[in-house]
Amino acid sequence: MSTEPMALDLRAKRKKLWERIMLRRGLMGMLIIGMAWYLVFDFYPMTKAYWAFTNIGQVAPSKISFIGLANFIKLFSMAQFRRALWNTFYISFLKILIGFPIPIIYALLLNEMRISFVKRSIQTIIYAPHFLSWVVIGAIWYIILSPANSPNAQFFEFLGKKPIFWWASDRYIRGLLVTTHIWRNAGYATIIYLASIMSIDPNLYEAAIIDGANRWQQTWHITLAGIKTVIIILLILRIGKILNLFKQVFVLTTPIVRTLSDVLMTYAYRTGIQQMQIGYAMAVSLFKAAVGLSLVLLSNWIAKKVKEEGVF
Amino acid sequence: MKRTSGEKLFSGFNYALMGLLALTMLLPLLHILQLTFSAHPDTSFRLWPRQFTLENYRYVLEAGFILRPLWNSIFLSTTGTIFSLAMTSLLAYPLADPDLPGRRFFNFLIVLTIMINIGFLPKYLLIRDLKLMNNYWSIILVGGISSFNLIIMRNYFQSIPRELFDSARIDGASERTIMIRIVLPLALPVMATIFLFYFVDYWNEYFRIILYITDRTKHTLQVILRSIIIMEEDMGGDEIDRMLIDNIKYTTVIVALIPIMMLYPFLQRYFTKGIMLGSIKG
Repeated sequence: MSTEPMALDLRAKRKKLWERIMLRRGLMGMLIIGMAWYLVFDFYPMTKAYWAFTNIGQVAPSKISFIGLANFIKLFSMAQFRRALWNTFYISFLKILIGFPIPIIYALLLNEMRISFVKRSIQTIIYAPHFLSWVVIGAIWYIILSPANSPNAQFFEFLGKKPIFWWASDRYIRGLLVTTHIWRNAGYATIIYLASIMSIDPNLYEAAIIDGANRWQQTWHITLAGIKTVIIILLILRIGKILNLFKQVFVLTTPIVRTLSDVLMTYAYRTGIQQMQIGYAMAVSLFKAAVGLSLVLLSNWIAKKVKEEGVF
Repeated sequence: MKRTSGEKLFSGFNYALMGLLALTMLLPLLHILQLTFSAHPDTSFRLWPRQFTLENYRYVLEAGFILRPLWNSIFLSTTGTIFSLAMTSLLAYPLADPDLPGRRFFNFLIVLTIMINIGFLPKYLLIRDLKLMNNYWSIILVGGISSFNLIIMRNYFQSIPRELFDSARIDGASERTIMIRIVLPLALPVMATIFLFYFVDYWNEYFRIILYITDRTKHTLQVILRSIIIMEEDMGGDEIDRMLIDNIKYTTVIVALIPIMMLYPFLQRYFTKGIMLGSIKG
């Protein structure tokens, strides 16, 4: 076969591409404006990842040079970094362990409610905290749990004990982070479970009743079995995002409880923005981004497998 | 169908439990709400103010503690939402066209921005180099388009029948005309959803403001609220000072809540759809 037809083919293809672009030039104009924004404010900053391999921030701007993996080696020798890494995993894991099953239970209980007015009212109320900012949520719980002039103080007075200052206590801070997270998000997370419960074929329940299954058996063998795939997928995706722990911790914690609540992103904020150790902080961020990306890709891949194969 | 007594018992227990759950969301808010209307704030838990008064609000507004941040919040949220909504639809519209050259590539780029997030440091230095510090544009530009919202909107546009576009193009309509005359009216539900999502995000924004705005006169309600709340710990001060600060604290919480509460009925109508669309893609 000669190369002639292939070259022609390519030329024709190129011409066709140009024609296609011209045919859609109005669209291309819109696309270019939007993508230009992404280029400047997303992709351009991404190219700065190489800072992690330089001593930028530690020396005068004229002396910046590549230092290889030095920042990453330093990272693991720093007790504060190891602490932040451990706290990130620990708090995220605690949130999944305690927080993940709760929306499933809410959804099952809501599904059992037959008075639709009550059901809808409760849904309306439990979805709402999701739309409050962490600052407002923090304010509410700082006010309620304040050690003086608060319901918290009143409660301990009633017990005849000295009130606990919950937010400044190493012992309770992680528990508070987990609890406020559940308070804010568990209701909202029921939406997906409720929707997938709704999509279960009602005939299955009728068949089960004829077979003599009681309510518990119906819940276990039909409802839960019906949403099993959704549960597994959401759990896997949630594990993929285990490192994304920032805003809540940043807003709700103070330096007093840093030992137990400092996480990777708050550590990167302190070293990067406050101490301007740019190269080092970039290494922290890049480490977080790389591990985070691998986790997300892995979890997406597993979730896809689960989706295709149905159930385990 | 007859219900067994066990089922009745469970049902009663269920209503009680879920009701209690709803109360854990409502009571803290109601407690703070009554404090703002109380002439003698009794800080023990209660639902009704002790001697109703509007003095607290009048005082806090007159003393100018929250008026300026409130205005800043309103200004930032409305400007930001309009900009973000415009940019998002500008990009969602072409990306929804199946015949767009390079469509798969551009969509891949958008997903990439969700997957890879190397943090705020390069963006912070970019804003500093662009001399946008202490300018609201810094906040609006860095966060201008949420890729997540973009994907929701693109999916919605894709569900609009293509024949509508094709016949309009044959009639010689420009893309702008098609977008304004045909797509936007059909896409009103998704536009409303994304509008609300952006507005709530801007209204609740805290971190980007701390990062890019150092000028205190430009701080928003969220920033002011957090600093009053956290300040409490090292506040000695006399009784009057403390009562004053408590008052500001309570009223600011309520003022920061009002827009969200006002939008909530509309939000609720749309977010179920939003979360479903998002979860299918994500």
